[in-house]
Amino acid sequence: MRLINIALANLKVRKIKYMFLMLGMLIGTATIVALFSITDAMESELKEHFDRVGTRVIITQDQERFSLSYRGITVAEDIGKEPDLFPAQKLAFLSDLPSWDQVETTAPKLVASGTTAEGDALLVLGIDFAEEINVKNYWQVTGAYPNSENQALLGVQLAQRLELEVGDTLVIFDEEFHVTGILDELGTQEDFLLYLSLEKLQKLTGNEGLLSMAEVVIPGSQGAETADFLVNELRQKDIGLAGTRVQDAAEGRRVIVEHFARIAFMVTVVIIVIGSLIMGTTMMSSVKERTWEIGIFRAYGFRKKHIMSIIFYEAGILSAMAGAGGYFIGMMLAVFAAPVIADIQGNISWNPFVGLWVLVLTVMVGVMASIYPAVRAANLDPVKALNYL
Amino acid sequence: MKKRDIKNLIEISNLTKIYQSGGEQVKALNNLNLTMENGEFAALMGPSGSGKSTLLTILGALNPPTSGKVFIDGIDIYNLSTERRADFRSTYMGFVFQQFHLIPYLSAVENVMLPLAISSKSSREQTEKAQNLLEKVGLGNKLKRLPNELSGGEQERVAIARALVNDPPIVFADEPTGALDAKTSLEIMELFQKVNEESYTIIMVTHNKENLNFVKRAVFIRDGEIEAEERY
Repeated sequence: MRLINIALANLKVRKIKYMFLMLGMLIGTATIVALFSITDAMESELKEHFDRVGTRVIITQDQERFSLSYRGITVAEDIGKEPDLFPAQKLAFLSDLPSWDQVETTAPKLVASGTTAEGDALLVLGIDFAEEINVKNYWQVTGAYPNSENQALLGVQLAQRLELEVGDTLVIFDEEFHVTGILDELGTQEDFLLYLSLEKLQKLTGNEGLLSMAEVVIPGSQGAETADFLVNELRQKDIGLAGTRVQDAAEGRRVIVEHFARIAFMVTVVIIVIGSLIMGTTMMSSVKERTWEIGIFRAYGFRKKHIMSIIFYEAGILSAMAGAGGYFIGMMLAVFAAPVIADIQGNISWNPFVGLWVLVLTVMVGVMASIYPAVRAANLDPVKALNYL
Repeated sequence: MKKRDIKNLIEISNLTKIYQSGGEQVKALNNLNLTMENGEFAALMGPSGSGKSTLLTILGALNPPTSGKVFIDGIDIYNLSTERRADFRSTYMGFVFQQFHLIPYLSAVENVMLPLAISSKSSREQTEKAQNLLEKVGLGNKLKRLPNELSGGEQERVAIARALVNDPPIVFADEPTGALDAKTSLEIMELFQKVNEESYTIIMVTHNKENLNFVKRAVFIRDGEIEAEERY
């Protein structure tokens, strides 16, 4: 017979009462585990995305633009000069910027408009295909990428509009271009563009050595921070170039994930507080029910620490069971709920160390919530407890 | 704590206990003086409210007196800290309470082992000791029974076995036959007598005059004072 045996025997005989307590703690633990697992999976997915795709900054000529509002209604935006082109050599100044070391790829571009021989007006993008393919690693192409100046790549919507296929010919700027590839649908403006060699477009439009923009990629999950630094450094450098971080869908998702993580944390705190109160109240009620029993223990020489140990054993055992069960149920919940809540496939990982942490933390919360009832039990007057007075 | 072999096991001097009750002071014990020898089997008798149960709890190191001294085995027990007094009770005392006070969710053998839960004895030693005691009190075949599966007399026997498990020199019993019929009361008193013959000192609070047939000494208490004493 040890103190833990007394605790176990008490739990067994009052199992209905303690089952409700344990169920409450189990649900709380499962909720916390599910929330953190989903958040973790979302963050992993984002990290993978940014490791793969990186954060992008668009560098353009720095120019002032205005918008006009009347009585709170924006009636005109971006009123200013036509976008300026800038010399490609200006990009060389960027290597002095501290954040430039983090830049992996620079993809220069020239934007122009043109009309085909059939009279179709198009937006044309002159690109360095090798660099652009590095930047646009999500591009999938039917056919092949152009590898000479008289070859063209089409967005899928443009190809459909012009009724062109791989192998066809397109005449624009009074020159013939051979369609070597058509991009698979992206669902963005890129589906509507004609892509030509940068040098070729510069020559055709009389803009040799000039660019409309450069797209730089900063890889890794810390890319957003670096991108913001780069934009600030550009502003301070004052070389006539400005940077804008591309807020794509992943950026939007990053904000959502951050908010979700904060909500998960707040919900966790609330659950822990409520769980502690319920544990404390239940153990307090148990101490009151067992007053005479505690009197017996004290009469037989149990010290205060022995009484407290019995209470802590009970709380610890209940919490451990809730923690273990909560971890498994929480993880199952995360596996099934993640695709529904967060549109995540996979990435929910079962880590035994996390399970161990959940167990330890649950036990700690349970035991700490039982400190007051344990102290009250230990300080009971044995004579009063035995109802002699 | 190490037990010593001295003649006067219990010595009370000028013992007074005053309770506060609804703004009034109630003197439960008034300047009591008493000694008990090693091996005594003494009954504390008196009407309700006479102070006998109060005396028992004071002797049992559970209830500090308002004034006076209590020496057990030469140790001033109320000079000890609360925790040291707990240790003292563990070493020196066994208790048989009114209404048995068996732990309802522990079996007979587990109830007997209860005082050993804080000892250094191994599980095997504890079980062996408890089983032997239950056999001694005639319950060797009911080790695993829960209290609600035992009769009143059987529960009392388990309570007596529990009181003896630590080999205490003193056993305090409060109305041990109060809830039992005459036949069972007789059996229990015979058991106490047998225990006393094994050199345990027994101090018993009782209303039942029939029990005087088994004790060696009776102390009659009225209004918190010793009215009379008899030796048998």
